[in-house]
Amino acid sequence: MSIINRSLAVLGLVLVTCGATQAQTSKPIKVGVFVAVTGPGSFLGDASKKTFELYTQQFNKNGGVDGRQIELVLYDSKTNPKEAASLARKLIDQDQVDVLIGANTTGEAMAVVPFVEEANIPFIALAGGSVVVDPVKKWVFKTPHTDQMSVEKIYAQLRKEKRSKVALLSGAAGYDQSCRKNAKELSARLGIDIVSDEQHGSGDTDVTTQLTKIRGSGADALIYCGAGAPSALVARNYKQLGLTLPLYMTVGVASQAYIEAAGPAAEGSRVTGSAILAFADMMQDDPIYNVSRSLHDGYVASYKEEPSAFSGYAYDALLLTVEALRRAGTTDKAKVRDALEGLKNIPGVNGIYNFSATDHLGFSADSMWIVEVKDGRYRKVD
Amino acid sequence: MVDFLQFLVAGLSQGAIYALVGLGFSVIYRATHIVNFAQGEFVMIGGLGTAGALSFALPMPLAILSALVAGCVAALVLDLIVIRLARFAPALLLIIVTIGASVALRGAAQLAWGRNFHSIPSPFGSEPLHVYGVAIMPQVILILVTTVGAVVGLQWFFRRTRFGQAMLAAAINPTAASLVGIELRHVYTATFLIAGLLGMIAGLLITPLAMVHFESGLAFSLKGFAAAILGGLGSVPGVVAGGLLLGVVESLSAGYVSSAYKDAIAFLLIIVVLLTRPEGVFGRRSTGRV
Amino acid sequence: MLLQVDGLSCRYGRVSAVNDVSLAVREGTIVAIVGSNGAGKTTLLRTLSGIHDAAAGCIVFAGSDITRLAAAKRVAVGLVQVPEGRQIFGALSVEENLKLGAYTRPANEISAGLEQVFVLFPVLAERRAGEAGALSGGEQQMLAIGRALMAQPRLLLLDEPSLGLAPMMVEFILEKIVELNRRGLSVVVVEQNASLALEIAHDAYVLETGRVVKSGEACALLRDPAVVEAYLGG
Ligand SMILES: Nc1ncnc2c1ncn2[C@@H]1O[C@H](COP(=O)(O)OP(=O)(O)OP(=O)(O)O)[C@@H](O)[C@H]1O
Ligand SMILES: [Mg+2]
Repeated sequence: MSIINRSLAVLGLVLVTCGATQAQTSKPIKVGVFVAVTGPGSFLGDASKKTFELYTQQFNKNGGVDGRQIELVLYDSKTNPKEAASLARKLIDQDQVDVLIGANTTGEAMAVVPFVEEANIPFIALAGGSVVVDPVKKWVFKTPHTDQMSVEKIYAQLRKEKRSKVALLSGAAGYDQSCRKNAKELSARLGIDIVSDEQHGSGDTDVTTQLTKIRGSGADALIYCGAGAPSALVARNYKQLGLTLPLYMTVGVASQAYIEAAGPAAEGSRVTGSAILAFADMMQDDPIYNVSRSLHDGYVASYKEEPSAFSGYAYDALLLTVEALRRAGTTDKAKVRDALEGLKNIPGVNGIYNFSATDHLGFSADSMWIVEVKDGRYRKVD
Repeated sequence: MVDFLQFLVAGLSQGAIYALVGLGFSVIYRATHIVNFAQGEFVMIGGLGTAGALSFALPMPLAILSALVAGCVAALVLDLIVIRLARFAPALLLIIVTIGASVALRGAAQLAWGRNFHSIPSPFGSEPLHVYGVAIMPQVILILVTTVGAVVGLQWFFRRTRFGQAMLAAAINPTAASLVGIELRHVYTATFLIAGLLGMIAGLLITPLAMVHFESGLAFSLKGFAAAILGGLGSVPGVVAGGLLLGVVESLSAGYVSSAYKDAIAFLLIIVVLLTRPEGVFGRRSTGRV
Repeated sequence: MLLQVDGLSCRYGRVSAVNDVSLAVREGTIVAIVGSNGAGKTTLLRTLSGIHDAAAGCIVFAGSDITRLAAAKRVAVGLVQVPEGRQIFGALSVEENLKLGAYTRPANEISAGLEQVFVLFPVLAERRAGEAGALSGGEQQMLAIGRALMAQPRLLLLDEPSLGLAPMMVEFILEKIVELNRRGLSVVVVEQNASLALEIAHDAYVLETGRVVKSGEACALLRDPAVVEAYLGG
């Protein structure tokens, strides 16, 4: 580090400290967060936690919400709905937070919803399941793409490629089964024929039997409805059997961890998710380029790893919270909720949010990308 | 036909792993009449321990060795706790203690190796062999050969070595074993070590194909226990046959009936076996044992 | 004295089974311990062998205090028991059973030991590869004694060797015990069948509800009217 750099750093520190002193004149805004840092959903929660910690600091450095600092109160929900529910209560009653963000898994989100509705506090969920906002619940919003959007996006791609016979392979977890159900329901409407519907158990260490059946089913595409590590097993067994039909994975897989775990077997497989997965392929005139870049560059600089789609959900939740608070000009919960619902044309990492009284997700499958693993990186598929 | 053979290969390789874990259950059960539900955790320790050591750039043999050492320490601690308690605690409590031990081992593994899935490279790479259109991973052959080797080795140990005979004797009649001068403490310790090693061997074999994380042990415990029950907890060849049968039944039912119900079908098989032949498909009705 | 027991008491939980028992075994003799059902004979032998803990008292064997010595170690110093009910390893072969008997001995002594046992009990040589559990009652008793002999004992403890055997077999077994004793082996034999035991023994003790009620030379006890009435059927 050169002398100049060092003095700049010191200067920066002084400025931050001054900023902090100034902001302390008004009470900080409390944002309560519970994420799955441990447990089966930890591959989601870990990215969320890192994102919240990094960007709360960043938002505060940039002046917070009109000068008021954001205070992050973050707990580990252990991927456990009961734990999530009790943490939500603790955040509302004891910590007296102004806004609630959290729940990496759909089960956790649904366990928290009753408390949120009773306490009348705005809640942004980080869970994929469409049930979280469908039907619309007054106080509940969410940022992630749904498994349903993934399936829609994949079906659209398949039709473009004139493929219509799909084999499904699904795990046993909640996400997997919800994805499987949606894939079956949407197939008829979108002109897709499900020719094989295979499943595997949660502790399984081999799926070659299922894939052998799929090989003989006449399918011209394979969709894996699952999340996390089993996806790497599917990719490996797929390669071992020498299957040639395209392999699609959903947003439950959308992180660098998949490529690391599956190794060379990941090559050529396709994944749906946020554009941030293939940030290098993003056009500068893309309306979400700037916001994606801000997440991507900061995350890589701090953590020396690529952000996943799951970092994007946390980032957007924070961004929407700040925006709503700013517009509301108060921490009054009803006003903040109204401001959230009124947000229009807000570019986030996952897409452009357009909330309304009838839509608390705010974007469609169009904002999703299909990326393909090439040379160990995600690249955009057109 | 090709499909059938492919199903069979999958079933046999999975079954061999179940058999190794099942043998661990069997060895401990025979000597102590304790069902050690921490058995699957040794599979996890074998795989994760090696992967963890590899991440410190240790060469493969050293990495495997360090995992085995970690697992043996865990086995010794387990032995110490369970056998101490066994003097006055009823069997049900001991089983609960082993369940508690499995939770503790999972926690320790999470602290030591994190929450991520890990794999280790296969010594034979990741390219499959193609035999009459059937894709076989070289690792699968290694699994089958090692399982056969482990079974032959165990049989030799129990039938031909003095200490192996002492372990059999202690399993048949502990009092009589003491009266010929066998130290039961040593037998119990050896039992836990052997069971732990069998689990860790299974972990070393399966991890290059699948991946393990700190919670992987539970599924192996269930499948291994099922294999042991199918084979009749007592006999080495029986438990191996039970493991292979379980693996093949799972694979064939996934292949020809429904992959959604393969576990249900396998467990149905176990229930039918328990009702009709409580000593296991391959077990002998016990004779002359006190 | 090869074995000296002083004030030994044993209990099962709160129940006392052996109470303040003292006894001695001279080198080269047979000592009989007689008493009715439940008198505490088995408990006494189990405590001598270390598979039951002594509640009080002490056991001195060949000059050293072994009261707290582990069971397996007592075998190694030459105190070996043939337990009640034989307790052979039924699923193992006859030869494997015998070899296990020599568990505390160096491996190079095993074949000589086997030879000795086969000379004493030729039927075991014929059955050496067979499963021990398939032997008749008398053969099992021979195997149990043979297994104990493989440990090269200095003192052999026999718990009811005649139990469940046909009279001819009882006689055969007792003859062998006498033969072993003539060759210098010291023996403690516990029997409900008191007259049999007293006939071959040098010294004897009568146990009643855990206590020694009479002791002395075996031939003297055989003539004691009280003993005759209580244990020798009048
Ligand atoms: N495991 C046990 N738990 C509780 N009490 C016992 C146990 N074993 C023996 N006893 C009791 O201790 C006493 C002595 O029993 P022991 O077996 O030593 O008698 P024994 O003289 O060998 O009788 P037998 O001639 O029937 O073999 C008896 O009252 C018996 O009921
Ligand atoms: Mg008795």
